[in-house]
Amino acid sequence: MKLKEILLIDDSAATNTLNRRFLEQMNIVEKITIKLNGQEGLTYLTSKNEFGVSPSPNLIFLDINMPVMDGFQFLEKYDKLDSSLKAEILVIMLTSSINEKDAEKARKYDAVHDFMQKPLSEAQVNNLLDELSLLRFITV
Amino acid sequence: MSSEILMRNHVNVIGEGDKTLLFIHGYGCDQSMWRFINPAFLKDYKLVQLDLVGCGNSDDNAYEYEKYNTLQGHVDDVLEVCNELYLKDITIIGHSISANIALLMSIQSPQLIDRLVMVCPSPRFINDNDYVGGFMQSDIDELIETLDSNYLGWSKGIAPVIMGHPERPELALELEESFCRNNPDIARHFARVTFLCDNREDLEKIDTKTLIIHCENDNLASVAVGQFVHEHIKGSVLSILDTNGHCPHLSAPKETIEVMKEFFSAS
Amino acid sequence: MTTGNFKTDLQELYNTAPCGYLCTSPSGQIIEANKRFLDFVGYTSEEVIGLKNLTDFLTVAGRIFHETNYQVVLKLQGEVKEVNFSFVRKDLSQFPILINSIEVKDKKGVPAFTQSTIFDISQRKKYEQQLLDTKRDAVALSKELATRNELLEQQTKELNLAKEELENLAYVATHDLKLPIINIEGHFQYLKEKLPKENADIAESIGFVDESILQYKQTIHGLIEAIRLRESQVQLEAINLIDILEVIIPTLQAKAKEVGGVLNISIDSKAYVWGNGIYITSILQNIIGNAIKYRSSERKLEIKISGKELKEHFQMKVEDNGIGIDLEMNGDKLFGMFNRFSNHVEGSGMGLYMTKKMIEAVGGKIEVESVTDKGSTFYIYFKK
Repeated sequence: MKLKEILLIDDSAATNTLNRRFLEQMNIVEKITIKLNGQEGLTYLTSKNEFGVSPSPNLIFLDINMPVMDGFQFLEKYDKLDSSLKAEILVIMLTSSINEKDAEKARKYDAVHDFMQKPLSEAQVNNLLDELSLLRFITV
Repeated sequence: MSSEILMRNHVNVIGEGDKTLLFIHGYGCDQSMWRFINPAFLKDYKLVQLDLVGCGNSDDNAYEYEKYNTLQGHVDDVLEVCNELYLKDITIIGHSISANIALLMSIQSPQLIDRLVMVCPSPRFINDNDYVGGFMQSDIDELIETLDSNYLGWSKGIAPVIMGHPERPELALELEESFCRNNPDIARHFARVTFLCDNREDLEKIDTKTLIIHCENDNLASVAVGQFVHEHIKGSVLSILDTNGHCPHLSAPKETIEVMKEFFSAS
Repeated sequence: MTTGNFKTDLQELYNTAPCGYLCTSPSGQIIEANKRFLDFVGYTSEEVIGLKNLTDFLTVAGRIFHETNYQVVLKLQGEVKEVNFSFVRKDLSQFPILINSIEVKDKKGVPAFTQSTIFDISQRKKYEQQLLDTKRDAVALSKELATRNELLEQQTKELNLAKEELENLAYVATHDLKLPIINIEGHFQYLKEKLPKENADIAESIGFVDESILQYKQTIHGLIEAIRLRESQVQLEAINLIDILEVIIPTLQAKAKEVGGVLNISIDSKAYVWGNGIYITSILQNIIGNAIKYRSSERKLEIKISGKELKEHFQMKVEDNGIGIDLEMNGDKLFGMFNRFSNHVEGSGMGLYMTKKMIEAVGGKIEVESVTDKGSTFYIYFKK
């Protein structure tokens, strides 16, 4: 089974390319969307297609340090979004930050499911898949 | 005499005789209080005068509050002085609280002491059940306060400040020659130790010939107290002088000398 | 008052004197007392003369002090001065007094009687008590101060040690990080030549690696600069800003022209400030350089540089019409480390952080005004 969509929000093209290639190789998702900062991420999540439906990725990998709107600023705004937009989405903070305080801060947001260090690993991704199915967000 | 111990207690030895009379002043002053008595004994005796540590011209720096929390501190000091001077078969004349010091000395070093003269002694100042020392605890507390309010006039510690001429130390010396100046903190401490003493049990332990001198009207040690001491020291002699106050050696020196001489010739 | 009769006048003087006069026998009994004294203690002369002793008016503690100090000195010295007692009145109320006494001796030198003057010092006692209390408080306070100072010294010592340690750590870390990256760079150059760049994915990755290595080196360099700035002592001297501008403007002007922009400068001929030439050069280059970097693509770049003298500072103003900064969102991070605010410019982001530190090192300060998409104005204050 495959996930429908994964959204990567990170300002580093190099990081995004690495992650995209990695996830494509694991063959677990149909569509990978890349946005370069929190603002672009929000705009995307609240956009509607010709049927009036907003995108609903299964996973969001969110970086912390980004220009225009960083990870935490994104979370502030994301919290205030309609719950129908946020249903069945797991937000993972994926970052190179080694600062304890960042981890603490991240966990305080309801929206954040987990805090992970770059780079992504196969084990981590598989764990997330398990959790998604346990939460009945997907059927394995 | 330059030994440290003798300097510490500002020891002075005068007189031409062989037998030794050791004078220990009471609370509030120093060896100068014996000046009216001394002349009468200079020819026939050797007079040893000293200042208890913390009083008069003794070494104030040697005053350790822990050590002098009880009279034993002074007892040890005076025994050291006797040792230093190779004294033996001495007569101690102790005034007021120093009578207690002399008492303890004779219990701890009986072979050193021949005779005791207690001038207005009190084994305990504060009343206790049937015992009438004459005072209450609150009286003693008040005394400490009085000392505080008078320290400006009595303190040699701040003599140069009073004079206002630290560049002229000879002026301060002039003040210091005045009598009975002491360090206010030490005075306060010594007052506590003195007026909170209790040596009643020690009276019976003496085995020395003792003369007890009391005044008819003494605010600090009544005749009744004198009687008490007399009854508890076996073989003691009690002499009551017809004078007022607590210092017969100052207010009635002639009579005091007479009584002492009588006692000396009898023993 | 003067009746012409000497004896009566003397009597009147004696009784109305502002102090109490007392005459006592050697045993302490009162022989004579003036009216003032009797008023002090609230007794009549019949109740006192020949009946009472001085000690009858003292408190118990007073009596002890009387015996152990007052009497002794009186006998030894012949006089006592300024002894403080508490007197007890007939109605049992108390008040503080000061007594001076002189022993008068007869022809044979035997004490005949004692003359005393007594002053009511109720007021003075209050002052004395206040003084004593204040002194006690002062001593306690100074003791506390000494303890706190000791603690502060201790803490300062510890802090300085920690600071030193941290700086050492940072220094060592950055140096240890330099070597691997140099190696990576070198070996990667070698690998690059061996890789088939025709493959689009491979070419893309090569690009990313080069970019990352560069970013890495810039960051390390920035860190080292920041540490160096902290450690070094800045040499301060009088600097003419005009001189500095004359040196850096030509290059900056050229850069601006390249992108179709222009620099306008207007400063007084006298722009003397207190600072460091190297630092100030760097500061101005940075700020003006940023103005060029963060230009708007929608309009022709225009940078206005001006300066004016204030009371204690000299204010430099660099105003641009670039993309501006969202101060509400990013204001507090503006001068922080490693921050970039728009997508379209490279750099390690250390620029403004270092700039601010340098400004502070020469005793100045920096302020910003900005509107998104209109432009920014930087105010730099130098000490005069």
